[in-house]
Parts: sequence; C-alpha cells; structure tokens
Amino acid sequence: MTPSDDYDDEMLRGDQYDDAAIEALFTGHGADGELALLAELAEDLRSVVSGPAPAPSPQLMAMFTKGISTNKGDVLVTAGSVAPGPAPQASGLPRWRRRKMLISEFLLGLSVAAKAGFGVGIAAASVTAAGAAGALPPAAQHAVSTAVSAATPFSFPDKANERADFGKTVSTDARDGGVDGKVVSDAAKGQGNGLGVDNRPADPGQNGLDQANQTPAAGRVPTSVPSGQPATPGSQGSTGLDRANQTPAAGHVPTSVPSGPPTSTGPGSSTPGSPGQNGLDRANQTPAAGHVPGRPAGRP
Amino acid sequence: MTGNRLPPPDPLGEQFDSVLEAAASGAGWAAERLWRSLAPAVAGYLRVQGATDPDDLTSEVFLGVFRSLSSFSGNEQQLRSWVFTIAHRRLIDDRRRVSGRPSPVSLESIADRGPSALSAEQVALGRLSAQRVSRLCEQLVPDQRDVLLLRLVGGLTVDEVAAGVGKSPGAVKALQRRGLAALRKVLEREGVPL
Repeated sequence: MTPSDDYDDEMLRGDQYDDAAIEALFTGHGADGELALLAELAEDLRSVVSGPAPAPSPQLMAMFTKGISTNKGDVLVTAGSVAPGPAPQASGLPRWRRRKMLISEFLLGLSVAAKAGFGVGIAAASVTAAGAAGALPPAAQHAVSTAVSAATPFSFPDKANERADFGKTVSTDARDGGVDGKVVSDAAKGQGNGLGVDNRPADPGQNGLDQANQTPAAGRVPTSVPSGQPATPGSQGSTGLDRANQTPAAGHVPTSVPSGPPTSTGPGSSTPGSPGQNGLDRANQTPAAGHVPGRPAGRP
Repeated sequence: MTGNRLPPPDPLGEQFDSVLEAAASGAGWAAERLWRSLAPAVAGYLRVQGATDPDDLTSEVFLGVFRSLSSFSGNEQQLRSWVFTIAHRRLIDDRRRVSGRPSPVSLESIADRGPSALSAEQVALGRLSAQRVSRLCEQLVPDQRDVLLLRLVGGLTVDEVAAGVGKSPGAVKALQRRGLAALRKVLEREGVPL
C-alpha cells in the first residue's frame, strides 16, 4: 500500500478530524483547517431548512383550537367531530330511554375533571342506564337515585322511597281506622285484573278457581277448592295435608302430622302423638327422613 | 463530549417551562407554540431526507408528540432531541411504506417557501444553496446522511443521535467523520467556491 493510499483511506475515514473540531463545526462555533470548507456548507444547510412552519393538518389544527385531552393522550376532538350531528329523536322513546339520553348528553358535556369528581366512568354508565330504568335492586336503586338527584337536575325512580311512602300510606290508613275491606273489594271488582280482562264473575256461583281459569294461569289451576273440611274426616294430619296434596308438592307431603308431644324414640322411628317425641323425630317424618342426625348428645 | 448546541430558530427560552406545562395539561395555545418553535426544522429535516410528504409527516410527528407529552420531562434542548427522534423514526416508517431508496431532492421548494420579502437575488441564492445542499447530500450513504443531518439540523448531541438511530456513540462518531470526509472530497472534486 502506497503512502498516498494510506492518505486516501485516512481521508475517507475522516481520521484527520478530531472530535473537538467536529463539535465546533456542528455547534456553529466555527471550524479551522480542513473543516472550514464544511462550515459554510453547514450554514447553507441550516438556512435552507429554516423558515416558517408548514401548514398543520386539520386534526392538528383542531388540537390547537380545542385543546389536547390528557386522558392517556387521546384527542378529544377531531376535525370530523366539529360538524353538528342530527338532532336526537327523543319523541316516542320510552321514558327511561329519554332519561338515559338526557343524562348521557349531560355527562358528555362535562370536563374530565368533573367526570372524575362524579366518579362516573364506563362501569358507572351501565349503572346509570339501569338506574334510569329503575332496574337496580332496591338498595342500589335508592343509592343511585339519591346520588343522581343530588348531583344532577335529573331524578331516577326510587322504589325504596316509594315503598317507604307506601308504608307511610298504609300506616296512615291504619291510624284512620283501617282500610275498609268492603270498599277495596268493590273497587277491585270494578278494576278488573289490569290485563284487560274483566274478572268480575258473570255467574255469582263462580268461585276463585273459575276466575283463575280466566287468567293466563288457566290450565294450571287446581281443579277443586277444599271446602274447608278434612278430605278424610277424623284422620290424623288431615289439617292442611290433604290440601297440600292438591298442590305441586303432592307426593312429597308427609302422610301424617304428629298430634301430640314428642316421644323419646330412636331416630327414624317415631310414633305420632307419643310423648317424648323431639324435633329430630318430627324431622324424620319429613322428606329429610334418613338424613336426620342421631339422638342429640346427653339425651337418653 | 456533549458539546454546545445550536439555538433553535424560535427558542422559547424562559417561557419554555410554562409552555411545556400548559401543553402537557392540554392547552391548545401551548401546543401551537411548540409547533411554531420546532416544526420548521422538523419539516426541513424530513424534506432534505426525501420524505414523500414532508408537511403531512411533520403534522403526524407532532400529533404523536402531543399525545405523549404528559410523559416527557426535561428542558428545551431535550424536548428538541425527543421530537427529532420521533421524526426520524416516522421517517423510517415512511421509507418502509414507500419501500424505495430515499431521494433527497427537490430542496428548491424550500427556498420558494421563504418570506415573500426576499429579493430576487436572495431567492436565487437560496435556490442555489438548496440545489447545492441537495446535490451534496446525495453523495452520502443513508447512515452518514442521517447522522450529519440530525446533528446539523436537529442540533442533537452524539449520545442523542445514537439513541435515536439505534447505534453506539462510537459508531455515530465514526459515521459523522466519514460523512464529513465524503462531503469534503465532493467539494474538492467540484471545485465549488466557498
């Protein structure tokens, strides 16, 4: 390799430039020696790239005019959202949906800080919708209704309050001498069943079963009404057991009802009416028979 | 050696801290202030690097900057470094989309965008400078051009350029030496008067 080749290689690598001189070139503090040839080039480069800022994009322009959302950097407003949308079609909607729309619009108009102050988030939106519909459990409904009423101009149905008021109403009626049952009965006869069916029996001889068969429960109504007398006069346990056998519990009804004090017989065997029978013995007369624990400790 | 830096064309100076805080809080006026301070250099860098649409890409860069501004902390020079790093990476993405070799040409349009108060002579000189710079940049390999332009236009230090391009500081120093040497050789060959 000739000395000129070495020189050319060194030139290509730039080894003749020390770091200080290069830094002076880049920082605009002038350059000496061979780097001086490049200093003016650097100035030309800076001058051609300087100048006024380019026109920002519509999205960026919207950010300048409406601000930047700090919610994880997401931009709240885009150019497309500036255009007004169609008017909300509130007419004809159910009441709970109208409430939900109004509340949603109210919440959207709030700043991020206000929303944080309300503690309303994505999870709460479902509670809000359910609360507007009055579909929450009573305790939750009352809590949501109270919070919304306190913080917004809107109100949610509050079944807890309604029930509380109902209790007050009933209590008032009671203090007034009670509800007139005959008045209620007459009023009930005049109201029908709320399903558009007039429940007033055309035949005075109709009983409740006949009326029940005129409701959607038709076909599942018991075929007869106990007349109030035991199905088998004189049999033990006839009180209620026969009627129970006419219900869907038929077949699971105990066959007899103990009529006397408990007896101290062993588990699983007890004679109705015998003295000494305890609760375990009675339990063995139920469908739980065979699964009842043994004689309690300490008892003979 | 970190070296001193060139002051940005429209430095915020003492207003920087308040402007940055306002922009991080979402103030649109503060974002626009940062845009006017840094966008010209970013657009010039992208243009000389051969971006397909430098102005649109500049807007994309600053949308990314403002969306992440709440996570930035530092002084004005550090913000400039951060912005140019984002710009360089967007440029890389742009090159991949185009999937072609960048052509750092059309710098004449930069001179045309200057203030209308310039005289015809100044405009002509500006075009010559733009043509000259364009021609000279074409002589550089991409890595050398990236390093030299980030340092000359962006005002980044060796360490900041290294972080932005994903190379070691030693590799950056080697690239800038070789880039300067290549430019000097072109100038000597062309006999361009300085």
